[in-house]
Amino acid sequence: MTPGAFWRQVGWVFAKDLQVEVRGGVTLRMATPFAALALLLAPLAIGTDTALLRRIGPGMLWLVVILFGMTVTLRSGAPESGPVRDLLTLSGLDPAAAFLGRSLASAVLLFGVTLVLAPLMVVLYAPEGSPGWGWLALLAIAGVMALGLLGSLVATLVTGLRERTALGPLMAIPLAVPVLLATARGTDSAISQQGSLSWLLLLVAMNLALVIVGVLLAGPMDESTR
Amino acid sequence: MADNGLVSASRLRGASFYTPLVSDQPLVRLVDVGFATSGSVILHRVDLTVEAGEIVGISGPNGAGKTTLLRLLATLLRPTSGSGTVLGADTGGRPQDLVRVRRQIALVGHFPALWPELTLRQNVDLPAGLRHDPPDGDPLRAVGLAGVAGVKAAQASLGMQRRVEFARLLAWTPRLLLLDEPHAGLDESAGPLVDHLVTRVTEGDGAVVMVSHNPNRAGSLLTRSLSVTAGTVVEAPA
Amino acid sequence: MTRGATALDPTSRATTAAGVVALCLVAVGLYMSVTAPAEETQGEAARLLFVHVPSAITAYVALGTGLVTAAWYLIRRSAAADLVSAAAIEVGVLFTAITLLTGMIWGRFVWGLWWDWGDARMVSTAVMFFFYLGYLALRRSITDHRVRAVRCAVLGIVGFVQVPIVHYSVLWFRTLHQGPSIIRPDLGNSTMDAAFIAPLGAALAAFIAVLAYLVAVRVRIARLEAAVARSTTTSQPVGASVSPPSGLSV
Repeated sequence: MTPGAFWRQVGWVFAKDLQVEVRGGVTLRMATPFAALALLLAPLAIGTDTALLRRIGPGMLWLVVILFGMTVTLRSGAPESGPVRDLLTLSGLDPAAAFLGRSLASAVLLFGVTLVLAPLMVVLYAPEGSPGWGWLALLAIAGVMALGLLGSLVATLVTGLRERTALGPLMAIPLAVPVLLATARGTDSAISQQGSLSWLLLLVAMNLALVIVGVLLAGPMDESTR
Repeated sequence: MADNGLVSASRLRGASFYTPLVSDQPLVRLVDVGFATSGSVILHRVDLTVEAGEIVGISGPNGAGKTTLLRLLATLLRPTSGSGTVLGADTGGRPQDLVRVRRQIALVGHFPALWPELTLRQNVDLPAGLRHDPPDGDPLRAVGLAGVAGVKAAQASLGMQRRVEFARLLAWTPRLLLLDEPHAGLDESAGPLVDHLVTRVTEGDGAVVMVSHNPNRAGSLLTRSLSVTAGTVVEAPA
Repeated sequence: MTRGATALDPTSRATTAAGVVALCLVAVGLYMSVTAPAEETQGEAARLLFVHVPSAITAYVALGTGLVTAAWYLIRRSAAADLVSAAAIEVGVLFTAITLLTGMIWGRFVWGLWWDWGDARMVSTAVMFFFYLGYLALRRSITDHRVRAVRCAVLGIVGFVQVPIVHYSVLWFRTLHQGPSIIRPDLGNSTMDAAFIAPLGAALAAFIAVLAYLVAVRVRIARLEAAVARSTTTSQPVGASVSPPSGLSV
């Protein structure tokens, strides 16, 4: 397959997944409100100490994005199953292109979730200091991309299993810990005007590793999901 | 490749009758093929040759392995024993070698391959985009669904979903068309649709393998009838 | 299988021999750990480190073996590589658990806390432990052995990334846990007294022998399980057992 054809397939999967998501609307109508609820409930459990909430706000945002976002990407990043999958295979869809397309679509969805939750966090937790917006944007983009790739990878491994809804997060969340550290600590650094380059580099490295592993192993994984 | 129906009938059991010809390979040739999962054997000792121009009907009791046979022919499953070629490619071969032949195979399975969240129109247009086969004309109109093109697939009946799958096949002609109960859910008026697709494939030097429990609707088209019984392929009782 | 047949089976003999060697090494390691001098600041609690440190290294070795054999499986599709990979990871999880427990007990004595959030290595080890529990759960929930082998191999490779994270977490994050003493980026300069290195080395040898023994036993069990599964599978196709409905009155 030529690189052009490969990237056209990536684009096709990306557009198809977003179309299915827009039509289905699970992320927008269910997952995002549920995550927002978590941001609202956390202070009830921890105690409504304003100074404490100011400090933990950014970390809470990323924790919620990762925990709830992972359920989004484990669903949206999962490969098709059954007859549709057969249709795609017979249409010549490259498993690696499918993996990248699904991951990108999931990342876009997660970015949307983050965009909804971030202002809510600012209102509810009133974090102090003015953030470096450039750093925050870069951290968020690299973070949701890593989560999208990770979710697609793990979702492929649990495809078709009865236990997948319980198993997926157990495998994916521990692997997402570097994303949590990098986004949360990176946000702290950005707020305290220290720059977040090392955290951003960690995320970039993680993205690269996931792309390499996912693309190289897409073939064998695809074979094992039939 | 010429229609070789007469010769192929004698090749039904065993490959020993068959002398390979470079210029005239059968579209499908399975030799002593078996398929088993960890827990159970589904197919064993399957010998099957399908030549261009043939329309092979497959019947057999529930659980006999008909659907598994179709998926093996589609190269979606690899034989766990024996060997086979489909459109010239080794069915146990590397995925990158199978990609080329897969694009010439169409499988209309038992359960329709539709995205339930998307409309019938999107369900036709999306796969066409992946294949780069823009249809000429409106395939949904041709199958009689132009009026409901905006309905979500989840809300469409089985027969309507089937028609969507046939609409996709109007944009291109496969060399190997595999049909699993194509008439299931279709009303009487849609019967000629199946005939039309099948004829297009055989006229284009392809072959059709069709699983059917309904000989009245499929019977007149078939050039040969087989039966899958207890995991193996035998000549259908007349 | 009769007793005689088991004794004649070469793999079983090798396994038994590995078991005997492991037992001897454990005895030596235990003796040396108990007779080593008490540490200046930590006192007797330091002896826990003769279990804690070797079990951590053994866990790394086991999970590393799981990684290499998983890659081997994907390249060669060897069923044996899959079984060894799974066995090594399973035993690696056991050693990770021992590492966590001894670390917590040691921390209780020396820092006065069971769990310290400032200790990056403790936290990252716990995260790794949960990940590998996920691996074992995945293995359990897939029945088809080929599907299971491929998916577990992929996960075994992806998950190993956590081992270097655990090891270097003490350098990457300011933390309570002491920095690496044995495997250091500036190779060779061990920060440890020779009186402690000897028992530590003996304990490590014992743990590695135990690892080898347990992996061998686990692979044998997996082989026997597969044989049992094969013997209970009939070679008759499923379709042969489906008969027309009967005994219904119309």
